Amino acid sequence: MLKIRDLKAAVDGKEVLRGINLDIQAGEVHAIMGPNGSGKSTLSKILAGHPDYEVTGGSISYEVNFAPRNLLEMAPDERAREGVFLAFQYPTEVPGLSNMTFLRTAFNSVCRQQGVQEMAEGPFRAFVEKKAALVDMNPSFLDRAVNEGFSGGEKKRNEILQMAVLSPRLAVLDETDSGLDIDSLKIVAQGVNKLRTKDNAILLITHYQRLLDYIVPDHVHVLSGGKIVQSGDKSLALKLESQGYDWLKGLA
Amino acid sequence: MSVLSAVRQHLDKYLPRVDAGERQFREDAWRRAEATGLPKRGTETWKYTSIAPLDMMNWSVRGTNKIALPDEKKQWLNSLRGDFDTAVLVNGEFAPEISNMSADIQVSAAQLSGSGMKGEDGFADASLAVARPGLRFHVGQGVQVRRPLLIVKYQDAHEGWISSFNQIEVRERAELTVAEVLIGGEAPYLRTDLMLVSLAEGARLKWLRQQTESPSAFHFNETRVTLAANSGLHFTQLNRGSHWLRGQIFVDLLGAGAEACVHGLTFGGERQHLDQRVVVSHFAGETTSSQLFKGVYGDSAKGVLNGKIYIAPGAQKVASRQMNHNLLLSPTAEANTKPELEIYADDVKANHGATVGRLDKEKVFYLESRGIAKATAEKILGDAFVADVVMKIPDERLRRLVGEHHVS
Repeated sequence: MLKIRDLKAAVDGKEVLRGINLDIQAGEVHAIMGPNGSGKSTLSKILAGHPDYEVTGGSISYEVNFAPRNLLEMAPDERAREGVFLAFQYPTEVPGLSNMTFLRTAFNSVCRQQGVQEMAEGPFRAFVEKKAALVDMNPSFLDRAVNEGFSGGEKKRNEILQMAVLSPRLAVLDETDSGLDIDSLKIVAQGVNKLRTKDNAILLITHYQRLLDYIVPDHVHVLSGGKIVQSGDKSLALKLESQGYDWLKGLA
Repeated sequence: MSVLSAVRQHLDKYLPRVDAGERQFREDAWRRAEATGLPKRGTETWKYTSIAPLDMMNWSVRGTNKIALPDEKKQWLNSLRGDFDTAVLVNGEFAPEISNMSADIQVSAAQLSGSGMKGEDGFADASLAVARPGLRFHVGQGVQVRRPLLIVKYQDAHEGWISSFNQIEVRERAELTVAEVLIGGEAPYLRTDLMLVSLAEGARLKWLRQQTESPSAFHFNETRVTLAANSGLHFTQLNRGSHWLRGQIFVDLLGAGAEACVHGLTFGGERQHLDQRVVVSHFAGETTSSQLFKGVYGDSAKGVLNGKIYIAPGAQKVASRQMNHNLLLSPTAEANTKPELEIYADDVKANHGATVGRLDKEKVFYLESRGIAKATAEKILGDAFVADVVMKIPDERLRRLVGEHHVS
């Protein structure tokens, strides 16, 4: 579904990714772990198409309707309509825009692209309330302004709610566990697990292993110095947990 | 032909046909206009707006110019009849056959002579000199009108100038809710809309004015509101239409306990020039007012907000605030804000603030990352920016009307 080849990228002229290779198939969960500053968040922003991140080399191919497309040539909104989703590490607050209006505008944009019937206000609310239950979110949050005054945990749940509503084929979760207490972490992880299917893929980006106790990955990659220095199964995450990141320094 | 020559030519033809009182009123207005002339570059209250684009056009003043409301507008009007009483003016002329008002509102012809209306500047006076008397809405003492009144002012006159004068009077302890909608046909036209509004003691008026003229229209309005003791005005001006707009509203608080909220939201795009002036004058102590104006400008639109608070000598215990916030969606859009405070009393609270900001790139990206196209995202964020002004409109039916025009 996703093929990243020798991806290089810079932020403010400084090289952050130095040749990433990664293949993700439908139905898989991948985790990327790495110390701070290793380029994890940069990779997630590039997948979503953030304009501040400059790709300086390599390619990303993403399968749309069984044919590979050059993801880097697609605008961020088009990527989203074709099933790429980024759960933000720091979700943006949008005062004046209700969560419900936001979700419905996004949902209907995706529907139009996919040639699916758009949903009217009433049925959509019922649909969203069901999805909100997945992340144990009170429906009153739907009528509040997007993320405004939400706690850290509520913002992260709201991201997973958006994921549930848009049902992406490739979901990138950027440090979704950061700032969460253990109860919130469990709720968020359960929500994500319920969204796992054989047709979609999930890329977890995390600093800590504990998220992976609840969302069990098929593959774990270690990112260090802008490169994937090691890949393995979930046991690699446990090794990182017990030994820290220091042993990687020689590999970068 | 310049604006002033068009006025003079019209008056030469028209004045012999009207009664002495009206003739006097129009001659007086003309003399003031002629003496003052049109606002010039140096006119401080017209600092950011040139009247030249308007004066360069070849307007002809239209007297009677009766046409029918187009079918699509009739359908739109019919869709609102469930919520509103309706009064329709087409090219300044009352159209009773498509209007429908409750008996709580007494309607008669507006009266220029005896109204005491004087223009703020030479252009306002020129407009008064050629104004067609429209309607006078009168709500008697203690009458609480339940259904809001929708006043539709439709204009369609190719290069025609229609000046219209209307009055609203809300008597002691009476209550009225008004939604006024200004719309028009596609050909360029000039509308000058003059209104005189009085609130007697304890009266309440909730009022939304929606200026959604066609994109080639030139629009000027002057509105004068007086508030007696303990009366309350909640006014919201929505500006979305017109190629060239100059709106000016003057609110005078004349008795203790009077309270005025004068709010506005302006959306500008393409090459629109939208200038709103607001003057709230506290002539009596123990009065309060708030001005909250927000503007969203894209393309090469230019917005102006000139808000003023005046507090007269001896008007103590006044509380007044004025806020103007602007959002620019493009590098070529422009927002000019000119706050003014003129205060001659010492025991008062008056504060003001103004900001001009640009769209937050992170917010745009957040919406894009959810599949929303960039242009839609910008529009949504513009609407979100003004949402608090809409939410403050104290009637759900009026708020819905604003919502209608948010949907594109």
